[in-house]
Amino acid sequence: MKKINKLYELRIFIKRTRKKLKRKQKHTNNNYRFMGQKVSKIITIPPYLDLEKHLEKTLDFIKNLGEEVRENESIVIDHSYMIQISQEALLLLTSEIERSIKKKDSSLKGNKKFMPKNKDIKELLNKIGYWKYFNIKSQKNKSSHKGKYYLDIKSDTKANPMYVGELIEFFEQIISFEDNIRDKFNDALFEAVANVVEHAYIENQKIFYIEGKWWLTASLDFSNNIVSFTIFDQGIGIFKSLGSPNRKKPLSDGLKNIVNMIKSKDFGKIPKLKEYPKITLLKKLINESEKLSRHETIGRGNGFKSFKRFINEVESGEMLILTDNISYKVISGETKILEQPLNGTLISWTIKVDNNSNKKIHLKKEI
Amino acid sequence: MNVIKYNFAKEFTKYPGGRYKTLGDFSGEQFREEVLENIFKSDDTIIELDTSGVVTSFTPSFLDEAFGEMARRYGVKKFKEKVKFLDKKLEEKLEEYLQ
Repeated sequence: MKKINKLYELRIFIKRTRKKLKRKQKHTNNNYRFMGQKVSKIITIPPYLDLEKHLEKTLDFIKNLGEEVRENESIVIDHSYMIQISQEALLLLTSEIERSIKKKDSSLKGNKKFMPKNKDIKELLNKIGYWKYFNIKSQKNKSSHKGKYYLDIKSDTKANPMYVGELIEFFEQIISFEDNIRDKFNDALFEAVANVVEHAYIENQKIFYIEGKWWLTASLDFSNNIVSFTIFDQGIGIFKSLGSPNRKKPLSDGLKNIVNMIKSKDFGKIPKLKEYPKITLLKKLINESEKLSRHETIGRGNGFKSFKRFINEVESGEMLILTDNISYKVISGETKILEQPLNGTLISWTIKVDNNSNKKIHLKKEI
Repeated sequence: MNVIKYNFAKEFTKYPGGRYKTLGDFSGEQFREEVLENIFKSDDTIIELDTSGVVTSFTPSFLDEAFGEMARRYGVKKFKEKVKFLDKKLEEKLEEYLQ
């Protein structure tokens, strides 16, 4: 009897080992099968993605991800090596995945093997609604970062005021605004979304796009009392949208000159010199005091100005604009010319909030 | 004079939107066409707007497209005769769009 059992166990062992070997072989031959379908490519998300220390690498990865997804029949996106990802980079990742799978008329499917192993990443992706966004059942994990809250990733092709309402309600869980500051905050948020829908996209963009589409998220971080909001679109970028012949509203002469300079092929024989008018243009867009009436508006700039006014009122904050190959921090004035352009525009706001109830914006209570 | 008491949050929205209908729901253009134009068609009707219950504030684009546009079409004097606000702060804010 014992002998039969041993033989049986041996047969099972051999069978399992053969199966494992076969699976491994398929994997290494780049002929992996996932949920019954042949996979031609496995894309691994790098351990670190953010728009500070790893800015160039992040943009490079996002661009490659899009290309790989569009070029290959079916792919697997491996999340298992992720260690750290910023809110902004996560929004870029989400949008690129969505654009690519939409083009293929496909969907993202979950598999434990390719899910993150790092517990902070697991928690972040759950809290920010990453899996929910792609209709994938989220991973179970114990929450460790009690002090950080995220608004689920939102996306639409319209400037629906409900989203701004949800954002305000999210922030008001812990923040008190003075009435007029609340209005300014509301205006800045709404302008940011409306600007994308109205100005960010043009017909026949080179890379597949979903017209009017924006993605946003927000967070509250109690470890440093920072509130942040990020919005991204995959449009033509600020410079091209200002220079577009489809513009309904005329630009001022000063802005028109700079736009023409950017468009001119002869400008900037020295590499990178041609990028400086872009920085000048961004600075002008944000800092020039132009009226917000319909007749004088220059469109894309209004959202920036609204938020600049808001930051000036609350006296603490920063706004990052990443568009084309320019990164510009509005308050500190820090600018970077990037090797790898971003397909679209990302705007990220951070506001430092404190407990001082005399301030126009302050923390309600600790949670 | 026929006075229409209009509860904005209940009858239109708690979340007023942007300028044009094409951009999203509850825009200034939509409010102007669906509500204000009807008031101005009738000589003996005025509207009293109660905006309490509105969760988000009125964006400059909404105010300009709904109210500013009516003032430009019919004149500021007639606009002020026909549109009344319970919220005096909003009425003050609106002044810059009535020029």
